[in-house]
Amino acid sequence: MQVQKVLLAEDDEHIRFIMKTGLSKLTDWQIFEARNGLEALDKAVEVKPDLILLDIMMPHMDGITAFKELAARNDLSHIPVIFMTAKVQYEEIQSYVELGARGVITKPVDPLSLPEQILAILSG
Amino acid sequence: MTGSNNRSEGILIVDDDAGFRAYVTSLLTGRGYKLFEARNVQFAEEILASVNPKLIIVDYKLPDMDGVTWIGQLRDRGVMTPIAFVSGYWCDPKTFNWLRNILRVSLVLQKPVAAEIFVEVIESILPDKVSFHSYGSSQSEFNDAPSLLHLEAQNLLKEYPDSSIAKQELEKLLASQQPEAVAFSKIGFLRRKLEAEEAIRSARVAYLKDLGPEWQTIIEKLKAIKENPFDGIAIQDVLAAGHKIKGTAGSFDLGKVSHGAERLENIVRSLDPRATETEAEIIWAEIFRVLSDTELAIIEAQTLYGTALPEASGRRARILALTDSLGADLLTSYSKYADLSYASSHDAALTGLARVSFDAVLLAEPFASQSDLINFCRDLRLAATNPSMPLLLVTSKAPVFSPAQMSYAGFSAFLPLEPDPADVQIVLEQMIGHAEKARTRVLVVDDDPALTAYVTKVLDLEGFHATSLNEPIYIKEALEKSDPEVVVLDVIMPGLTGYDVCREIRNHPRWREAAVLFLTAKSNQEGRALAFRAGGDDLIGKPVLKEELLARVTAYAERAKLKRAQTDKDQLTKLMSRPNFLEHAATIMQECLEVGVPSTLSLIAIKGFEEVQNTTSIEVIEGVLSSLGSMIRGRFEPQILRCRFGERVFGLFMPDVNRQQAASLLYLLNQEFESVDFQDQNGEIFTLSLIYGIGSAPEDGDTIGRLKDLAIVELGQHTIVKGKI
Repeated sequence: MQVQKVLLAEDDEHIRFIMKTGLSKLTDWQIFEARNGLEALDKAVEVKPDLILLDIMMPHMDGITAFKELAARNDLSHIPVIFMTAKVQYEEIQSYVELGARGVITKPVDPLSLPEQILAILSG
Repeated sequence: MTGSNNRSEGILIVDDDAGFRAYVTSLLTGRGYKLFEARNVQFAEEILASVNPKLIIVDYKLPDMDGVTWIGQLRDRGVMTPIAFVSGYWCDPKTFNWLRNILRVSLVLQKPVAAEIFVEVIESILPDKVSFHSYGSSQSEFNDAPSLLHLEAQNLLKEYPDSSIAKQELEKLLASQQPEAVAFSKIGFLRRKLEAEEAIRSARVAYLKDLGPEWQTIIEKLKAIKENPFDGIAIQDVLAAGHKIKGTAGSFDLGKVSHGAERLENIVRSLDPRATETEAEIIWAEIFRVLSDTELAIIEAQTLYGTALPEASGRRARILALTDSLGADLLTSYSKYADLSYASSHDAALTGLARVSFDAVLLAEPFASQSDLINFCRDLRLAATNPSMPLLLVTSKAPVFSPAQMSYAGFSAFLPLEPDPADVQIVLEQMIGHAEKARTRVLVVDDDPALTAYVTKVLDLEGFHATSLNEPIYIKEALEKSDPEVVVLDVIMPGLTGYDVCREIRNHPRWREAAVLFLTAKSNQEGRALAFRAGGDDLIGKPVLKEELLARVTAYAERAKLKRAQTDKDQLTKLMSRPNFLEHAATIMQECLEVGVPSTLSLIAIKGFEEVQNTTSIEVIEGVLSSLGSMIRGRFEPQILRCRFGERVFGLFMPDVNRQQAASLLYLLNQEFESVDFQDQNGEIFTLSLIYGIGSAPEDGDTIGRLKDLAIVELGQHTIVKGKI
């Protein structure tokens, strides 16, 4: 799968900045940002990304709700989604995968190896 | 290899994967090469019969023979054409060595190969083609490729000196036996990685700035939960904030902070509003520990990564510089090491000193060579809020005054206008040292080292001198050692409670005036009553909010200082009282003996004082004594101890001063005192002189008591004779 546009939905500006920095410096992907689930939906419609990185805990609309909204739309349901969460319980992570997510990245993330982590999820 | 008889032409690729052959062919024909394709060894041999390619690209797995074996056969036949070996499998070191050293394979590549890398590396092994656009454009530069690589590595190290990965990754890269072009490509990627690392590092500075207040908000919420364990909103807020910090701080490589936030999240989750008091106490103790640990980690990270308050990296001296605008321009070398405020007249300096506490006063031209300099110094010292403030003379002119006069005026050091920067630094460090001694001493007692580490760190950063004690049983030793003005005391400790420790402090004559602030998880009415009954001055609720801690300690530090000043000082002359003076002098005298420098105790009295007493009114006598008192306060270097020794006797203790030097200083004091015109109740003018007695260590004895006895004996005999010294 060819990745060109990535949508990064994360409410914490600090972590969003370093993830964006890691991704844009180390890949040639184009990175779009959203600060909550609602913004993520709007941006997804607008830019039609090849991949969505979705934080679970966000204000206004959390990641799970946003994911369900995406899945319900014919034009967006094909976009692979990777959840990001600081939760580490296996069951929780498993439940996100069962929901239909392509994968889960646990925080803390190492922004410098984030691209590899994403590629591994997409190819695995 | 170029220009051989058999004309070299084209590149031969031997691979059964038609896709890969097409890929390579399109890449290389695009660069202007002629390509020959073979899907197995048999076809390859047929092509080789008629063509002499300048490069052969060989796949490992071929249908009729494996690539390694075939390359071996070629070499055995004496075909020395450069070969690039391509494999879909990871090449183990043994095979790699075999290929490189025995079969003279120029290049070992693993599939899949990125297009730009493939072209670069292939071109790097072609004998007559140089197209290293990004790293060099001429043949000679290309031949220097390894050193170019090292050059780029050195550049990277220079450009990113703070990087945690640059050195390690570069070493790995340079040590690996990769074709230069691959290495170049990797080093290019490393550069982007370092750029990202740097951007993340500066983002971390901003994050740490926000994290401090964020953490205080968590503590406030926890305080609310402590008051009302059923405050579900506050609990949810703390959980969410802890969860977020765990992820974000960790991503910024702040492991300790991330771990602390995770621990906090877990503990707060286990809070049960229906728990018994004992159960709750255990959980809260754990919460307090995590809070302290984590905030300390935040402060440490702030210090390490450069967002901390300026105090953290060593406080700069605050100096009042007395000079005109011309002089101010010449003091630039001083402003590198200290914060200078300028005063351009005597009056401005005196007003400034009375308002702000400076660490030192610097007197520069034109004031430094004025004839009334010595008198002005006395006024400066009397006006200063910091009585131990050092004076620094800055002049390039030959000194007008003798060393004894300078010392009498109270100068600690002399420096030229344009001094050696190293000298300035040394002198200013000494002055900071003086200022350090004036810091309020705080003793922090808690059985939990996490809490004392946090509290002392916070206090130290704000300019206090904090020490900690984790075993309350050693309170007496800790008091002796730290001599605190404020004690911050935990209530619940194993063995001894804070109440017991407080009573111990209150029973001790030397520290009974110290302020005692209880740290307690019980800040309710009952807790307050207990704290005050035990003799505490105030209490600070746990969890400890930084601002609250600092506000309380600052307030009580000022109060304690004031109280001590009142109890220690003679009302009339504002000088130290005798017991306090002797105690301090004894300590300093021992220090002098240990390092082998002299020290001198002098007692001073007014000659013919009884006559004055018999013939004048009490107001006149008090006027005389207070005038001598302020002369003694306003003179001499700050490290000299002064006291009102008895009703009519004054004492001076001078470290690093011998008998003769002391006598010179006392001579100057007498001279100044004799020049004062006193007036009796009838308006008659009269003058007075001083007598003194001296005891000097080490020659006269090694205890302060012995020096004192000698000085008293001498005082009775000795009269200063004018002009004798």
